Amino acid sequence: MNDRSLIELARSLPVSDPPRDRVEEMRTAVLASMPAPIAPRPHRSWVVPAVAATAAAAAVIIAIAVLRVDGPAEALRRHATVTALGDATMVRVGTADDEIIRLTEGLIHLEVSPLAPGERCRVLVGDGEVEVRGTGFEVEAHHDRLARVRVTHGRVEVHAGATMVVLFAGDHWEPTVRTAVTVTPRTTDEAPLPPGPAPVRRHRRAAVVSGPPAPAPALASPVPSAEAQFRAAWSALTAGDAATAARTFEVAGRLDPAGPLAEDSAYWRAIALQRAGDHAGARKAFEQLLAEFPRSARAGEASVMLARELVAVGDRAGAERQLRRALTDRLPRVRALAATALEALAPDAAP
Amino acid sequence: MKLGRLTPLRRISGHADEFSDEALVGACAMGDSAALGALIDRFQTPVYRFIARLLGSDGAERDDLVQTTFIEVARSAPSYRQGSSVRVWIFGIAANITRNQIRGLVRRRRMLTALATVPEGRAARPDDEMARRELMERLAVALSELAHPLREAFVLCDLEELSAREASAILGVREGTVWRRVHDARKALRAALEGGHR
Repeated sequence: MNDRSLIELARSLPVSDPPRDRVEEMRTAVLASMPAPIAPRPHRSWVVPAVAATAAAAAVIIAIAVLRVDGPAEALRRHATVTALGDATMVRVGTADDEIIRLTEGLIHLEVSPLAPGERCRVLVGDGEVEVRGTGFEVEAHHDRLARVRVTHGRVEVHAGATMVVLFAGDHWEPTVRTAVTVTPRTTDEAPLPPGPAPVRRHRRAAVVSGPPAPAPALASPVPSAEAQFRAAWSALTAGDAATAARTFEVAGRLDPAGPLAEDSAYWRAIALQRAGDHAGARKAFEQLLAEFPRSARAGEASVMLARELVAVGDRAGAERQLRRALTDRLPRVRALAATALEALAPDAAP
Repeated sequence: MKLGRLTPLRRISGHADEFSDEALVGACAMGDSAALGALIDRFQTPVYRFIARLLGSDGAERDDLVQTTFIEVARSAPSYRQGSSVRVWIFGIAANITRNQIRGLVRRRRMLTALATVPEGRAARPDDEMARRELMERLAVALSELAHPLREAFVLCDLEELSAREASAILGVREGTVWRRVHDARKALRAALEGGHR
């Protein structure tokens, strides 16, 4: 008997899975044995309905947890200082590179220190996500639905369903009536479209707002010139002037090459070039992005977009390398697209 | 105290993958029971099967070891080092816990007892099917009688398909030692199977 036969035979030895009720008992017993989480320090305590994870764990609604702003895990190196404005229900999870605040109910204010390339800080709600880039902002959720986002300084991206909106200081977003939302379609047999510019625009006047509307960006407090250029580039891209957007994103990146906007400027410049039809420029821009920001949160998407460009010029090997890189992206939809594209590239794939 | 049902942590768009394994371990390190529950949901099946293969049985003893494994996962979460896969890390904890348990002979006795109670086929079977069943039963016994270090290496590399590097990290030995143990395990199992034909 050779090794392969032996191993196949050994793998076929029956191993039964335990009954579901036994698994549930085990799970409950393990969670009940977990020590109570460390209480937050008084000066940063949360106003949260909290239930300790002890023998009463069976009564815990897992979506509610005590938040520990300065807990024992200092190694997590938090970027976000989160303050609940009233009662809020949330869980704080994540790693040093990907800090996540999972909000289901209530209003919170966040102050996020500038992130290094590759680092992320996000607020996740049931139907949306708010990603920050070194900023101060408020997020409100009701019944695990994103209700409102207001930016006090800096810049955030709001992902709601299939759309994405970029908000700057003074901007205010609320979801529109659902029937009015136009969703950018995605198909699996083409490279993913970037999540923007969104048909749902950011709102200068919210549906229900007390007080005067937020001022237009031109009248806002002076902002760094890199940010002003980024805004202008974004407006151009939103208006469909991809060529202008590409040039202006390039300027924004050059004005502050080590700043928080450099990575996004590089990414959106590449997208704008692609949309403007400058495919050679887009290819170089994606390659440059991946070289300068290899740990970027957008690396997987950039790899897939670059693969599309490489296939167009006949570089299948290069495309395959990029798609394999994207197979390990943290986003499931990027991994799925990369896998589908790789199958299509396979030599014996049907035309 | 009456126990109720724990509500699992809700995830964005219903996709559990929104939370990486590392993110869950990080949260678990802060005492987040939701994250520990999510880790259990994600890894309980592979851990149950892994321990069953190491033990050679899937009874109550396995359940205890699985429970002990996840309790240790919660306790050790603060010392988890990113860079190694969470799956490998959890398997390492399970392997250590099981190794401590396996020193007793009780496991082997239960295994042999379980084999002795395998019911006869209800209907006549073709000769080749009967022969295959007998071969698998001999293999199961031979696997249980392997020295534990050899069985560990065989289960990790050949059955759980971990790389030699990952297995060496779990077992705390060099990669060359892992391969030698796998080779010796295969040789011993083949000898046991072929010896049954004589």
